[in-house]
Amino acid sequence: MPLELRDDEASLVGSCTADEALEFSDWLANSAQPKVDLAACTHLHAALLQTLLAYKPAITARPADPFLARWISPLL
Amino acid sequence: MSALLDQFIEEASDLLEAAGAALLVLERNPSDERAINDLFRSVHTLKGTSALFEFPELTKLVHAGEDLLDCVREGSVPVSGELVDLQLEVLDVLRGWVDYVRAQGGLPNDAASSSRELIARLGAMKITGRPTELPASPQAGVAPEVIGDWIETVSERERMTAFRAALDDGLTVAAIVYKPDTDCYFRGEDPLLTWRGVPDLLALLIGTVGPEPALIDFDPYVCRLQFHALSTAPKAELEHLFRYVSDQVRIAEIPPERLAVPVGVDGTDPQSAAFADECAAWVGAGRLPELRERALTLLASIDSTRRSASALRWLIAVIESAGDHADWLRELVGAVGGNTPAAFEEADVAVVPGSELVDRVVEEQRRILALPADDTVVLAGRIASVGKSLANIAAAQQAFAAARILEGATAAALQSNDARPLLDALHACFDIVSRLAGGAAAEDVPVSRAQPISADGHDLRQTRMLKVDQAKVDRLMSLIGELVVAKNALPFLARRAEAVYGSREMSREIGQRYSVIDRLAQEMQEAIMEVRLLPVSEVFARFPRLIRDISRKLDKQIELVLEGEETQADKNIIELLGDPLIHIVRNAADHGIESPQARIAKGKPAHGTIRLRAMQEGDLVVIEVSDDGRGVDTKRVLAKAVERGLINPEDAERMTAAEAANLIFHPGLSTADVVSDLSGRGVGMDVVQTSIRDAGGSVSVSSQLDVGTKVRLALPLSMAVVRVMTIETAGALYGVPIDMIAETVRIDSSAIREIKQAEAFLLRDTIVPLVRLRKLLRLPSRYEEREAVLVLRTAAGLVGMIVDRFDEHMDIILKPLEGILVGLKGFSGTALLGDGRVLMVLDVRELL
Repeated sequence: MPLELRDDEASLVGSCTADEALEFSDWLANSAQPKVDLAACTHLHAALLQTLLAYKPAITARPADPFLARWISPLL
Repeated sequence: MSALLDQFIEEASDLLEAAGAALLVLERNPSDERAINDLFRSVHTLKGTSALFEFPELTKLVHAGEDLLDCVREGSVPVSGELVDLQLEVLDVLRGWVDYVRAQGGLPNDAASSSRELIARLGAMKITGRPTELPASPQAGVAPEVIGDWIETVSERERMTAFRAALDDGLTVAAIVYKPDTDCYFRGEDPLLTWRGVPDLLALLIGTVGPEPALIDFDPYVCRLQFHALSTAPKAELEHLFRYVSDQVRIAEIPPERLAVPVGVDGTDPQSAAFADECAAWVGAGRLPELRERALTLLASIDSTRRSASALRWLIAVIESAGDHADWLRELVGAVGGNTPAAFEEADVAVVPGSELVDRVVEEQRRILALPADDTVVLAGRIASVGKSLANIAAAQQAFAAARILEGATAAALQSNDARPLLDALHACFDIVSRLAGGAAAEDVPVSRAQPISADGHDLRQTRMLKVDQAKVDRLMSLIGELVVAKNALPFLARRAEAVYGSREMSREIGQRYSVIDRLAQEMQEAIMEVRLLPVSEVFARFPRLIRDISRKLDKQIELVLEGEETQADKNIIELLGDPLIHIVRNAADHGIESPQARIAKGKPAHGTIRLRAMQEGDLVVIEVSDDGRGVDTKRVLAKAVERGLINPEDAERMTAAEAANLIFHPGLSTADVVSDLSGRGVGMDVVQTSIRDAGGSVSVSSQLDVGTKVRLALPLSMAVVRVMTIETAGALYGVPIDMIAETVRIDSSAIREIKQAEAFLLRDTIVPLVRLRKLLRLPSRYEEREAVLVLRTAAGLVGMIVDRFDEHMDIILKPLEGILVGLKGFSGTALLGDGRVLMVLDVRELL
């Protein structure tokens, strides 16, 4: 399960696809102070990225994946 | 076939029709924004939905058509007759394919080749439409946005890496701009995955397009991302990598000097100014090592966020890199002194594109700036923070020129310790005041999260219609018909309750229940009738195209005026109107309207007018087709009718002009001598008359020579319910449509006169021929003292029909004869009665 949603923290794990985007954006919309853990994320679909950019949740752990770390992480 | 495909076929047909209509409006008025937007929307939606299926030829063709339309919208290709011809041809081909898909589930075999051919023609039209815009400089041909302002927002470090790679390693630096379609996620595209595969990626800017939507409207599946990147991979390799999304990506090689742009806070200091003055001549004198030393020293002593510092860093980089670049060095030395490099100057003041969110933030910043400040430190802090936010907003909205202006204004404000320069820049860069005034009202509109928004941002809910297969409506209709029939059994039951079981009370109660069910059934019937009602615009819609084609073909100028398109009638009636109307309109355009020369000679305007007018008259729908053409030459019609022996010369003498004009409905009489490509294909006006009459309607024509012709069609609003009079003959029930019956009389057998084998009787001083239904139906004859006679209206005048007994009037749902009964002559259909008996409805015209 690439998307692990808890009360106020979500973890994106492995390769996260567009299928997760709706659930994820709903979760973000309904959390007061959402926190997101990207440490184990190996790929982020563009739909998830734009969701993150829109809701700007706090990032508790940065991705280890080199591509995400170099190009995506600075945006979040 | 899947439900989704079914829906696509329905939708595609509608979209193609809408596109065709909009195209014709556009041809008449090329500046009609609504038409071009309608056209665009239709084509765009079609492209989007077609991509859901495996119809690449169709999607590509639609895409090419849209491409050309895009040029039309931008004004680079003019709307011409040829362009509309080509686009209409494309629409025709697409329509053909959609029909083919409907029938066969896939595209025809030749789809690929015809798609290719049309795409080539669309492409040629696009190029020949704008011959003036051909490349003039080596950089032309590259869309300007590929190498644009965005490059300066790439960090200096990244640009410098690219710059060094270009000069020192001889690599080419490619600029990549990737703007994914908003619906790209639905096609399974993942732009980030594509970027992952890009080799030698030196910079990747990820931004969002357009105004920021409120979070409540946020849709994760509408792609709003856009990407700008630099890579040192060969252009060909990059193009191969992006081949699946080639329409969304632009790649161009960047000249290295385009990377060497100093950016930073504006403003200058004495040291830098002195440097620029002193060292300007050093470049020409070749004192580069000295220049480098001097630059390094100065760099260490000034604020590194200044633009002059950035210019110094670039200066050093250029000196350190391979090759002789005196021009660049001179520019950069000037830039250290505070000059904006000429090549990169922005002439226009960019205004930041706004949105509700931007406006709110900017307004807040404006408020902060306007706050009174006693303390200069507090003010400086405010100016710095507001300036930074505003510049960020501008950059985020891709208004880089505005961002630079704001940065400059912030520096100026800090220097003078006065917020005014920044406030002025804010007003110049954000068109905020006017929008806020308009936006205040909009805020009251409640926004709901569930609002479905289609890919192109239109609210789907307002246009959502329920599309139902006609067969389902027909089934509902026949079920309601059966309910009406079943309901009719209740009065029989009531009578039986009284007569057989002697319970009057029971009978009355059944009667009461019956009246309730009767009312409900009637309402249901009306409701389902309404569902089946269609506006005549359904039929009228095809005429603008038809008239356009005819006028181009015959070189006539014809204007088509449509009136009363909202008039409604039953679907069957509307469908039945199509062919006769086409025939009449073709006749009017072909034979009616004269050539422009002939019209001018007659003193008429060069362009003729054909008017299609629909209206409701009682329970009839009336359609009039009138033209201001040459009219029917009644003398010629009469002469021809006599010549062909259709009427005798004496009758011809007596005929009024109106009667003569109506002769054109006679089979075997054509008003024109020429058989053109358009009309006269062996289908005469008599066919029109027959089909309209079969539907229970009538046709008439009135005409005046050289003034015009008017053809009038009158049809019942609905064919579904027929009012009949039931009659009994030889123990069986028959129905006769009530509108055929002039009256019912009883006559003594003595009043029947025999004229040879025929019978007749006198009805108010008129001789009315008599027929016997028993004889017509080959039933055993019976003669009575007093005969019941139905007096019927027929084309040949009144006719009396002797039946056994008259019965009651009744509304029935007529069902056509089915199966082996189809060939049965003399009956138009059957209906089921309340007591279970079958009523045969007579087709009197055929019977006589």
